[in-house]
Amino acid sequence: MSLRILLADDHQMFREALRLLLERNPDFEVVAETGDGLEVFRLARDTAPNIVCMDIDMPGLNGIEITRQVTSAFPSIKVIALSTFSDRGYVTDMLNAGAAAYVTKAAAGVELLRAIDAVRRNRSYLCPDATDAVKEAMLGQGDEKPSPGIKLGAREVQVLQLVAVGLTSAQIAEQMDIALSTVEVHRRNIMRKLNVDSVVGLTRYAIRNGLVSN
Amino acid sequence: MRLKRGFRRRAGFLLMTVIVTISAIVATAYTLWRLRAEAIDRHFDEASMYARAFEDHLTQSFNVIDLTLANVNGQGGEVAFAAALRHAPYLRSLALLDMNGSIVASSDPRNVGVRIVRRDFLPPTPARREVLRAGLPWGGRDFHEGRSATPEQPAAPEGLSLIPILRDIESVHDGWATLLASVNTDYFLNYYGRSLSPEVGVVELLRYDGILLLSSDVTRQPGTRNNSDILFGRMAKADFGRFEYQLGDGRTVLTAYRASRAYPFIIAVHLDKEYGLTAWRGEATRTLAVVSTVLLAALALAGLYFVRIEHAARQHDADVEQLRLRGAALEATANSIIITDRKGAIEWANPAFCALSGYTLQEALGRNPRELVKSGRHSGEGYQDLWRTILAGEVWRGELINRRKDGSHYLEDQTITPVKDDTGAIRHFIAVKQDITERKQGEKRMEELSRHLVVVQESARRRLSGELHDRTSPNLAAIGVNLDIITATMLEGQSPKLTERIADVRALIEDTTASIREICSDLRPPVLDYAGLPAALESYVKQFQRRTGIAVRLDCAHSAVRLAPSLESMLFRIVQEALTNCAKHSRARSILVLLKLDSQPVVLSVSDDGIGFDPDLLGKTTHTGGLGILTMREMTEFSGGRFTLASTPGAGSCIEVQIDTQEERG
Repeated sequence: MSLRILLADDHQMFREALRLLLERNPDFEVVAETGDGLEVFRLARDTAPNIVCMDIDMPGLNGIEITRQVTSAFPSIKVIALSTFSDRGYVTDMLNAGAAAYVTKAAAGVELLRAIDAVRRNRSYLCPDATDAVKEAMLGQGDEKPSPGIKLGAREVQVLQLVAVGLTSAQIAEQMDIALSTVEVHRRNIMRKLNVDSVVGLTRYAIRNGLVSN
Repeated sequence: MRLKRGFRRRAGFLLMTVIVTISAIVATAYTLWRLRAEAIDRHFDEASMYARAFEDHLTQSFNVIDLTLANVNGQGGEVAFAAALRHAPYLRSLALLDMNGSIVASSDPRNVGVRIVRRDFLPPTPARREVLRAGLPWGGRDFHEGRSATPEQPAAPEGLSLIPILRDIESVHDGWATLLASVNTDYFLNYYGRSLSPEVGVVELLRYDGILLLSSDVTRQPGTRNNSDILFGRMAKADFGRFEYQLGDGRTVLTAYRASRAYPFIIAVHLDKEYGLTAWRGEATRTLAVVSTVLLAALALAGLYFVRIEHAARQHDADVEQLRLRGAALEATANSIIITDRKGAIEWANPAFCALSGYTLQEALGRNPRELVKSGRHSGEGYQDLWRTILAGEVWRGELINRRKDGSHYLEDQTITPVKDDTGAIRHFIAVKQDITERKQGEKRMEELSRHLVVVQESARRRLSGELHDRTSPNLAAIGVNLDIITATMLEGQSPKLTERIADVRALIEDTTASIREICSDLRPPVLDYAGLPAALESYVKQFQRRTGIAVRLDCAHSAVRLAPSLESMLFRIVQEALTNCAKHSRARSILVLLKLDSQPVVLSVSDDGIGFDPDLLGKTTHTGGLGILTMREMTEFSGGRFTLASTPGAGSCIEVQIDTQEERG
């Protein structure tokens, strides 16, 4: 039996991209989509989806309120929150409202599939950014450790390895045959994901995770 | 002008000095001259006294001679003469003359036969009468060894001399007889010498006709008629008198003369003028010494005094000049200035005050500013505070609404300074005022503009942030999802080169998304509207920490309390500004952001452990420094809050914002 999915997002291109992504999997069926917050509840009732991918910021009614209504009216429907933000307030409010998973739009592709996979098995799922936010909410601030769930892309691992052995960005660009600015972009992304702010931090992470030989 | 005054002062002083000096000299000279005249007068008196005494003596002596001669028995011969001479030391000899003038009998027989010229005798009575007659003096001791001295042939100096005296005697027996007596001049000279020292003066005995009979001056020869013209000129007028004349040897003498009452003689006493003036000279010398010393001392003192006066006068001139200058400055200044006495009555006001208030100086003088310009727009308490302050001797500064003469009101900034005297008692008040009506209006307009600017800026930020959030972010997300799909498709087609490129594109999108998120949160974090200030601060702080590496602790109790949106955004902006400032200037390692939302007023403070600064130097060392502080202060004050800044060089800094939200709501 295929998984019925309802897409609620006011941004049409994003919605279509998601639909394409999901429909690549024959198990998934996008039963309805809407950009209007006020329509979501009606569609959920009419189409009886298994999963609702819910944007928080929608015209009409905001995602948190809809989530609350939908989950209380139809406890069997799992809500996956999709948001531009990973601020703690949004994450905790969404989880309080009954969402089963929280994924930032920036990481929508892979993370969304992981979230769907988790919720269909009755588990909850938070993307790494959201995990950080929730953890901070519980532990307080100042946690500098990167989340264990962080996954660096293959390209990022490649750049990180080169940085860790001491190459400059220019040398890395030459070796990888890409623009210097692209290398810088990768470095920034890595640093943000690992929550470190120096080459030393990057190197330490690479060694600790066996990316380079010591 | 000043030079001229100084010159006049000096010239006046010199003139005064000269006048005083000349007066002193003239007075002294006059006094000395008077003293000299007195000394001469006294000397004349002395001479007169001598003259009278000598005349007295002479007359008495000749009275006795007269009596002696009257009682001699002419026929008695030598024996009778000797008897008569026994008690008459002033006579040397007695003789009897015959009708021809020859001595027929004498007390000294050697005289017999000497012939006497009867017409040489005075008074020249032709008839025989019982009076004494004096003849020309004779040089020698007696008639027999002498001769009659004449002006042509005077007697020898320093020799003996005698004065012949005739007296006719009526005898009962044989008619008239003539007696001749030889008067001993030494007797008189001795007497004179005893009374009057020869150095002091000379006594002379003269006959009426000016023939010198005897003189205490041994150089004068009896029988001469020297220097007697003046004497006779005077004698024609009076029997006694005094005069001054110069002797042949150049000496000046003071002469007093006196004619004998009964005999043809004149006594003349010549006192040496120089001798008489000796005492005066000593006195004059002493007086001159004292006067000149005193005068010099007085001049020196006056000079010193003048120098001091001159100095003081110059100082005074300089002070006056200064005062004039300052007065001109006060007149010229655009601020209005009034000076009052301690009760507040106006003593002076400058033209700026007159222009501002509309009153002329004449109208303002003596009046109290209260009566003139009080607008009645202030409570009595305000004025009480003003008076309390200035009567306590302190400077009062504040703003007052005052009234012009025409009734219109104006706002002025006033500084009232009490002026104290040496004892510390308040004498005057000086009020410096400035019409700040326009400035206030300008400030108000500026404030409105600034407030408007903040609102406009906030709304622009909000709009931009919304655009980025609503369009750009989802677009990027969509691109990302599409790329994921492409990647998935590619994997099936096994094209590693392309896969790498797509990974790079994915990274670009990710970085762009992150930067847009940061920009959004800088511009206007959506979470601020959604979750409130604490949540927004939390994510901003996190982001700031990541960007700068400075540890920031956010301490916020009661984070569920929501404030008015404008307040929340203002406080958020202040934290943003404060943290940015810290990152730029403070070199802090940790920052504490403290937010008390449940208290009244709401308090926000941001403190760091950085290098700090001197708040007084803010904005003076660099032209950009302090702009952040200024922005925070303005934002706070626009919202009706209170902004305080505390910083010590080397010990970090702290800003604090207090806003009474109750008032905001009311």
